[in-house]
Amino acid sequence: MGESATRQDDAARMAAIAAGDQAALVALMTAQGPGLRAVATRYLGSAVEAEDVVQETFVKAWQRADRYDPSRAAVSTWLYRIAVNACIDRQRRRSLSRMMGLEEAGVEERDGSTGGMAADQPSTERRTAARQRLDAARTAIAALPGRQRMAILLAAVAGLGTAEIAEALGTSRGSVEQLLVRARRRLRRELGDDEGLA
Amino acid sequence: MSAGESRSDEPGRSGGPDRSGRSEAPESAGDARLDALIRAASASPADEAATARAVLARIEAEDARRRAGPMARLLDGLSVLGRGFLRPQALAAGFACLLLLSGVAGHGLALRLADGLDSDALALAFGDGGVTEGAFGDGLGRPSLDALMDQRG
Repeated sequence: MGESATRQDDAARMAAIAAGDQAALVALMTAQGPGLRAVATRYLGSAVEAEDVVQETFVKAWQRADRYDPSRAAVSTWLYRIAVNACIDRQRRRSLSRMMGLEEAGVEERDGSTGGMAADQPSTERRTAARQRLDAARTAIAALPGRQRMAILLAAVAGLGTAEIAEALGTSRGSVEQLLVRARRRLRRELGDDEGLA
Repeated sequence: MSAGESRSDEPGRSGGPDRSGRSEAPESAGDARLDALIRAASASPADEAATARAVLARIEAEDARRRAGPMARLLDGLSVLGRGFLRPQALAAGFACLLLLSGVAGHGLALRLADGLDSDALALAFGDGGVTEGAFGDGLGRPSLDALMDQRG
C-alpha cells in the first residue's frame, strides 16, 4: 500500500472515530500502535511506560478526534505529536520524582527485545555479537540529548520526514535537520565508524 | 528531552517554514544503515489486541466518569493524593498537620491551666518557699485566699 493510500485510510478512520466508531479506533491502533510504541520505548527506556504512553495517545485521539484537521497534518504526525507530548510529560514527572528522591536514577529496561538483526540460523557468536551491537545502540540512543533522541527516533523508527518531525516537535525543518545531523554524527562516533555506518 | 523544553498540544503550530534555505538532505547509505540499526534496537514486541482492549476500557471509564456528574469528578480529582508518586508527600503533609494541631491544642490547654491558677498557687507550683497559700495577696491588688474566706464569713 502506498503512503498516500495509508494517509487516506488513516484520515477515513479519524472521521469514523470522530463519529464514535470504536472499530475504526482499533484499526488505527493496529496501524499506528507499533511505531508509536517503538519510539516511546526507545525514548523513555521503559516498555511499561511506553505502553502507557501509547494507550494515553489513543485515548486522547478518541477524545479529540473531532478537532483533527486533515489539511494541517497527517494522522500519523498528529498522533506522534500527542505521543511526543506524553513522553515529555513523563520525563518531567520522572525528573521531579528523582529530584525528590522518590525514584532511582536508573530506568529499568523491561522490553528485553533484541530486534531483527540476527541473520537466519546465526551461530551463538554471531547472535551474541548482534545482541551486543543492539545493546550498544540502545545505550548510545539513550545518551543522546532529548530532542536529538526524539528526532532520530521519529526519523528512523517512525519513518517521518523532516517536515512531519518538525510538526510533531513543534519546531522548524531547519532545526530538525540540525538535530538529525548531530544525532547521527554522535551515534556514529559512539558506535564506531569502522562498522559500515559512515 | 529535558524538563525545560517546550511543547505544544496541537499540530500545525510549528516554527513556520524553514528559513535556513536548505532542502531535505538525501539519505546516504551510512544513514540508512544507522537508521536500520536504530530500528532494530527499538523493536518492541507487544500484544496490540491487549493494548486495544486497555484503551477501550480507559475510554469507557472516562465516559462513565463524565456521566457521573461534577461532584463525582471533584472527588475523583481529589483522589490525586492516592497516586503512588504523591503518597509520601501526602503522608508527610498529614504528619506535619498533626504536629501543628497538637501544638496548638497543647498551647491552648496550658493557657487555660495557667488562667485557673492564682499567683500563690503558681508560686507554690514553682517552689517559691517564701510564699504560703493564702498568707499574702498577690501584690497586684487581688485579695488573698484568706481574705476571700474572711469576706464570705
